[in-house]
Amino acid sequence: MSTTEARPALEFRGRMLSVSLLRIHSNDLDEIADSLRTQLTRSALLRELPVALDLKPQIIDVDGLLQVLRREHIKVIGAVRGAASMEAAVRRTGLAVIQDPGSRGRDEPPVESAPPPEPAAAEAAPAPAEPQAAAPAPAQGGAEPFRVQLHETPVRSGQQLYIRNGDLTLTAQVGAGAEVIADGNLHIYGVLRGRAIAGAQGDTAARIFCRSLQAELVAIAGTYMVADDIPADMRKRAVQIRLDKERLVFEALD
Amino acid sequence: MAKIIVVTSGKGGVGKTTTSASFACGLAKRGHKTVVIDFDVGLRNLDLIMGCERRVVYDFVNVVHGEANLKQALIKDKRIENLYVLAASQTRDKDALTEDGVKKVLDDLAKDFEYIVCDSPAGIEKGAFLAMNFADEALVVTNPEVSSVRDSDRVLGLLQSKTVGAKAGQPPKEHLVITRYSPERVQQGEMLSIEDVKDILAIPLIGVIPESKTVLNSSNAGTPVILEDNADAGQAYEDVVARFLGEDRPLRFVSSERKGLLSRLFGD
Repeated sequence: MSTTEARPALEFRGRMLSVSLLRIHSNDLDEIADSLRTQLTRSALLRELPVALDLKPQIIDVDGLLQVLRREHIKVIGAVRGAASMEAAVRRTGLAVIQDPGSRGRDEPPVESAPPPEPAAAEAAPAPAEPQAAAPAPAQGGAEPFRVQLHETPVRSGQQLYIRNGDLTLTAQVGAGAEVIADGNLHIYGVLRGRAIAGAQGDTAARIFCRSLQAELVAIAGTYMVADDIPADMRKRAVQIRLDKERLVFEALD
Repeated sequence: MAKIIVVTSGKGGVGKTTTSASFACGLAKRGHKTVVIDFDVGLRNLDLIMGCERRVVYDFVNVVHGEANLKQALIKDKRIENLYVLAASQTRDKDALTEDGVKKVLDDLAKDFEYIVCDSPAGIEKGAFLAMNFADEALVVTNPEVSSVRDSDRVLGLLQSKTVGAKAGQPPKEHLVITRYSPERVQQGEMLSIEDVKDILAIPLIGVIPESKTVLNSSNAGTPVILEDNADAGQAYEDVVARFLGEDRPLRFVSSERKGLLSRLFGD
């Protein structure tokens, strides 16, 4: 892409960050402080450690807990989704609530709209869900096994197919105005006319493979390219797209 | 059990109502008891195309609201046995239809009819959704141009994800109807070809209706074009009905061979 364009003062990038999860097993603040000090003396690495609070267990005194943690130089950067009441309590303290894909149910349908209006998972429609803005929240993976999802029907204009924590193999086409997104790689055997986003959680090693590249936009780990900028000699060809030092590289496969 | 067929497209002006009218006529002509319903509440047209606009007393909305019964609202076609029209209301808006109300009317019609043809309004809002919601099969009407094809792709997505059938794991069976096809303009590159459209939408083609002056004339006269025996478009609709009922018929009116020869002679 052009390097001559003026660079904006800031930009948002999709990145997968590794953050430790802190789960408390007690609501006794003194007990927590004691336990923390013991563990800190054992491992200096814990000092200044950025952590996200696990909201699964009920935390009765969020403010008190945060004070204890701050005193011991634990950097709490946010909290991971739990009950709505807990989330509200955390938000009041100014912390962010982060969505954690690993904490979700295993039997959740693989195909769903990306931004989670909470009960969306209940609508286990076989076809992809309706359009919505993209960009899943950055979150800590790990707990959920990596999966490869096979999808055999066309992804139509206005639809979005998101494979959380996995690869997508699509044997049909992606219509103009449709969007396929995966945290891993995309393999598209039909014509790719819509948008293809691989490495949605920031995996820079993710790749896009397609049999006929006619995409409106392709992106890997937040680095994107629109149709106008995609090399013309790659159009309608079988192509693999990978990321090399924050630049998208297109390679013909045939 | 009655079969519910939605005629839909997303984009307006592509020939949904023309197709609904001719398709319903064609089914009825072959002896199948058929009703065609105008879902375009507020912008009713079907009664005009069917030539029964002066006999509308009660309409679809009246029935949905229980202000009239089906018997009062169904308009019997004067030309064809077995054919009935349920007109839309011009004075109400799409919110006058409710999912439950539509379902009840369709259930009642299903006791009496073999085929229920739902003429969808343009767009993807409530009216269009209610028209497709209970469909067993869908005729997706598309003009051979990019915006129409894109909108049809969108509608296909809705058929496959939002309808009652889709939610039960049995989405409506889809058929592609390409209308206003002009082989000459395709040759000149001004229109998408049949192959282009099929390639983008990836559903089975059930018919190609050629661009034809007869369609406009017969619409103005209130005669579904399928009843014009000499018109290309009418015969093409006849083919659509035959294929829908399981016959195997070759595509007609899709090449410009005759014209091609002439233009070669006169050097176009």
